[in-house]
Amino acid sequence: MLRFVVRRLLLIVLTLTVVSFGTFMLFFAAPSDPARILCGTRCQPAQIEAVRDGLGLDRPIMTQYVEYMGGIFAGRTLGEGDWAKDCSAPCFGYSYTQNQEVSEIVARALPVSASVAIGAWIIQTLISVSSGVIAARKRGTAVDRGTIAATLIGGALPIYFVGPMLLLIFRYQLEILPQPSYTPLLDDPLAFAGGMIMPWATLAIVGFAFDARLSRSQMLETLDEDFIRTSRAKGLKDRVVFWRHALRASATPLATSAGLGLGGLLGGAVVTESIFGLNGLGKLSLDAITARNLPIVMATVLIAATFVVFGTFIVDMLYAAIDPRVRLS
Amino acid sequence: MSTVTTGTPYLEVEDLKVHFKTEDGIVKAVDGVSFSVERGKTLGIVGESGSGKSVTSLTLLGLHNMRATTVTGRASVGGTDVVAAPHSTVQKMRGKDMAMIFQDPLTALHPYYSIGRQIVEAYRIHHKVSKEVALKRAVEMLDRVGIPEPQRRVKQYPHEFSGGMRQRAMIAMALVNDPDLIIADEPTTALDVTVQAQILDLLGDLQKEFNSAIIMITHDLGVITQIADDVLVMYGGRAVEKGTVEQVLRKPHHPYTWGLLNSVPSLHGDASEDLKPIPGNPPSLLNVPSGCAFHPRCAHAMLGGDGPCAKIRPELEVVQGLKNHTVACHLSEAVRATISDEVIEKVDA
Repeated sequence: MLRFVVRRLLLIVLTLTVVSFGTFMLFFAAPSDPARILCGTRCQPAQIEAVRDGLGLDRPIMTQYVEYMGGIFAGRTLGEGDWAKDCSAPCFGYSYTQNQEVSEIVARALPVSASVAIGAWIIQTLISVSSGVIAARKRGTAVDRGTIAATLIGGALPIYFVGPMLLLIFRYQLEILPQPSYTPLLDDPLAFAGGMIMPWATLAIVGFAFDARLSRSQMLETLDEDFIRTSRAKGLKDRVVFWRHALRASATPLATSAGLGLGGLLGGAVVTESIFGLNGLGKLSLDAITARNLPIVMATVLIAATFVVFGTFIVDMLYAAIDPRVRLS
Repeated sequence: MSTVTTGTPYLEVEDLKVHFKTEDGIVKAVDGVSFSVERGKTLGIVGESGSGKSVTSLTLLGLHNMRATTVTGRASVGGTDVVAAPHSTVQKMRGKDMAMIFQDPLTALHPYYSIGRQIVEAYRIHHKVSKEVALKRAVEMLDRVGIPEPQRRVKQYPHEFSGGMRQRAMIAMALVNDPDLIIADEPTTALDVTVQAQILDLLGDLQKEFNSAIIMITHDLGVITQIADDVLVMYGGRAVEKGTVEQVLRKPHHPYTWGLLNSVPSLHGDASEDLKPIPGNPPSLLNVPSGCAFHPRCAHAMLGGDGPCAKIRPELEVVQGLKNHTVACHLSEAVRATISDEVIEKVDA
């Protein structure tokens, strides 16, 4: 088991290294010059050269990458001479346009996105898995058909339709929900939930269909398995067969889907944030890409990658907990 | 080996019909089958895939697909008619009055629960005892079915067992409640030949010990010879021949039984001589051939003119002079007796 965990963790390190290197290279391949952008439009070639030199942008890409990665773990001094700036770990670089360390900017945006994504993920998983499983239990009844209909509708709705509709109805027509905003959970839990409920609902409604249908079909498939017939042949009540044996056997694919869904929700949160005007990672990275602000793009990509990779890691750990066959291999 | 009728059989099935409604029409999976099994006796049910042998047994436990299925007839298990009884009654009888051993022990055991846990669960459905007591019983059963180191093995999962050991564990689980009727649905099909023999021996021993009635479903005539007392040959959802093993396998009277015997390779025979498989395919149960369902594949069918085989469905009739031996065939008894001798001669050669 320990070997299993260690192997997965090593794989995470490898994945994140590849992602960070890829992003770094991609940005240098892009036809833009950070020094020129920073220097402004009326810059003379000599000045640009000075800026480039000061930022260390003239050194080999590999050297820059290694320094960047080193800064994340140990902190570093950015630039030389007049440009020199101390940047403590975790150092993701310095945003000259905002005159702030990237880590500070990201630290403000991360909790917003995390609140949207994780909250929506919990709600979506609970609702979709339970409704899918109940639909399978009540197969062929009105409950089942109702759930299928709901997944068809939910699956057809895009975020950019659901979000504005919710705003229109609950914020402006009925006036029962507050304008979405971010309040730290620990400051005021009620305000936190109130400000987040519409983004959560949007993502949950849109994401509901997939997991619900998957849960339903997975349960029905499991119910056809030989070992389910065996458990009925033992004399177990149908209820026990369903809620114990069948649910346990279906847990692996459901955990996979839910775990990977967390990464997807972070992507969905980008759009949701723009709709509800929340200053999260989504808005941050969109703005950064438009402005070619490399340090911020790097940081947001790394954070998103970390989310996805750790989501997968949690799924792997869940596998091991659920399926005894995984523990050995 | 012949059946001596004493008292009431534990299982009595009369005119059992299982029909499924599908989009394409009604599938007559079982269409009027009758048989009985006494305690301590083994009935072998033989037939090709789709002959209705598995559906028959699943129906007894109420494990068939309930949707759009009509079951008629009577099936008395220890005095209770499981066809007429409510679902809850049948469910309580499962595991205790009648237990089932399935074909593939890899898929038939829950992959996420240890062997011990699965046996403990089976025992505690019918016995109000603590988990510790049930676990002791599970270890006892594993030991009884010949699994070495049962104390250690009881904690393991199905994937840590070999095929033969898994089937032994399956048998231990089926027998943990000392059931009166055991239905074994091709229990050795997925196993090596050597392991097959061990499993069959084990079942025979356990049967003597617990005095249970066994239904052995198989397509393997070798299994029948080894373990069964009586045989029921099924074709197209109906019984075509019934009798003791001695009668059906040594004096077969149905062309389909001849075909089955001819399809078995002989160890002593001439290797250059071809096997004679039964031509054609098993009938679709959606559209069973008229008259005798076997007539399209039967080398002896009387079809032209007044030939009855494609027109009239033959009923089971007693084969004269052979007690309990019945066959459903239009051929005259004299003709059947002659061909039967030829078939057996060839099989023995």
